[in-house]
Amino acid sequence: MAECEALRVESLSVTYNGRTALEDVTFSVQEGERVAVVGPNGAGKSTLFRVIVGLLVPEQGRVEVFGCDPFRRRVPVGYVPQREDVDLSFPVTVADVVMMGRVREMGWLRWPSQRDREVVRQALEEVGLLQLADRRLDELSGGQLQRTFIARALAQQAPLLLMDEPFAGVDAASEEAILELLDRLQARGVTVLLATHDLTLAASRFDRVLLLNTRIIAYGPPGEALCPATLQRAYGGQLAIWEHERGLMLVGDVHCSGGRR
Amino acid sequence: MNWLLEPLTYPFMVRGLIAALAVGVTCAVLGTYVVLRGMAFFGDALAHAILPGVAIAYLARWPLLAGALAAGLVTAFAIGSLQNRVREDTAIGIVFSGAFALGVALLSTVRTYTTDLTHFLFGNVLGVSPADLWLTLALGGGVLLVVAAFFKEFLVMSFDPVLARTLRLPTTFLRYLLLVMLAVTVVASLQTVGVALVVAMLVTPPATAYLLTRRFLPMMALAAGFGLFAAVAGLYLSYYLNLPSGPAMVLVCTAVFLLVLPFSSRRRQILGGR
Repeated sequence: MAECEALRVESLSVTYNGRTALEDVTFSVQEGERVAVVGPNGAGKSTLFRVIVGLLVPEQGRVEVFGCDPFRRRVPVGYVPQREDVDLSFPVTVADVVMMGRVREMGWLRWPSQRDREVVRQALEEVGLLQLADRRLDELSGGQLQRTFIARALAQQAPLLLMDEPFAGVDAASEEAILELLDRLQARGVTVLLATHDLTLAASRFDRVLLLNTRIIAYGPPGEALCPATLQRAYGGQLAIWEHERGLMLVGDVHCSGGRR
Repeated sequence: MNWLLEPLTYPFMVRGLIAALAVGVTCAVLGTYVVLRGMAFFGDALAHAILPGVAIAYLARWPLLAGALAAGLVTAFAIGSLQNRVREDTAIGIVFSGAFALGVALLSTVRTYTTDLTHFLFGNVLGVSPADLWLTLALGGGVLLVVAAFFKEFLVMSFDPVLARTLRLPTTFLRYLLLVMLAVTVVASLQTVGVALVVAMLVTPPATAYLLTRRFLPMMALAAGFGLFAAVAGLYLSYYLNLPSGPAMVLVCTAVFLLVLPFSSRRRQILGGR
């Protein structure tokens, strides 16, 4: 892993629709790291991503992406929102949507070049959708749609990728395809932040876990960040109800083993 | 064949035909964005709200374009600032009818009121002067050039505004550019279709194309084809049946749409929600 800092967030506070969404959030991510962002509903995970990608302006604090302000950055940041609010009957194919990720790279007054088409082809192959390139969006399953938007983020060739709940409402095949993709991205040194509800996944597949509930409750390797005390603080009374046995079993597991990987 | 060629022996008919063709293509191309972005009501409102600007310019003998553009921008701004207080469609309704009423009131102060108003509302393709024709061609050509130049940016913005912002595209600039182009297109269409019906030329050809294709560029090309056909067919209808040119062109558009409708698997999407 390079020593370079991919992301630095400093004393970030955001008020969203009249309530505090994030308060005094400070952390940094090294290039090539894979970070799971976990926390209860309304913890500010999506807000955090929207600030990092430059969709929201924070009242306080600072965000730096590879040393640049998100509003002035030259480095592309790939962002896969939790739910794409798009018209699925829009007359575009899967390949057209992925090509949209290239628009900034192409530059003004340019049409897609051979190289752009090749990047799109690779991105589609990467998520296993090459044979569906000419499909329309309303012909896709939820998982295929999610993979289309991930391919679009890949086509930006961004060194930093943010994925907000990519596994929500996704079939098992798509989940496996996304997980395999994460491994290949890490081998290439792409930094990934991924918000998820799945604590098992966060503990087993990520270098670091950011446990968030408006403030940062814990940040570190899964074994340190996820323990009964921190989970209790993040989820409060919710934990027993939420995730049922699976979540509780995980807590014990991580606590005893002191963290894997 | 003679009935096809006969009208073209009059220079004013040739000018009218060229103007109608330019308007048919320009409206259809820009209208593709209007349809896909769900801006039909907004486009209609903008067209009507341009009337006071045109009326003032007409009365003061300023260039009509300047008045129309100013009115278009004021309208877009007024609708935008009212949106925080009432729902968007309500805001459009208020601004649109208010501006339109002002335009009619202003025009009523002229002696030739009825003729002038009819011409602005429904077009007067036979009155296209050589200067009008050049203006229409220049405006239409300008709009087509801008669409070609920002084609992929407009596509991204129409499909997914959030992506447009994360890609750091100048979304506010592009949105206003689209509004300015709408205003320009309405002005270009003033002589041939008129403000009351221009929305049909914007919306119906792309909607017909949408029934037939699943790709964006073919949709735009097909829409332009339907727009051209409506311009020619409408003009001949207008010549032989002595109809105003605007309604004639719009009726052709509507007829083509109704003809295509039974052959489309997508008709449920366009009529009655998604």
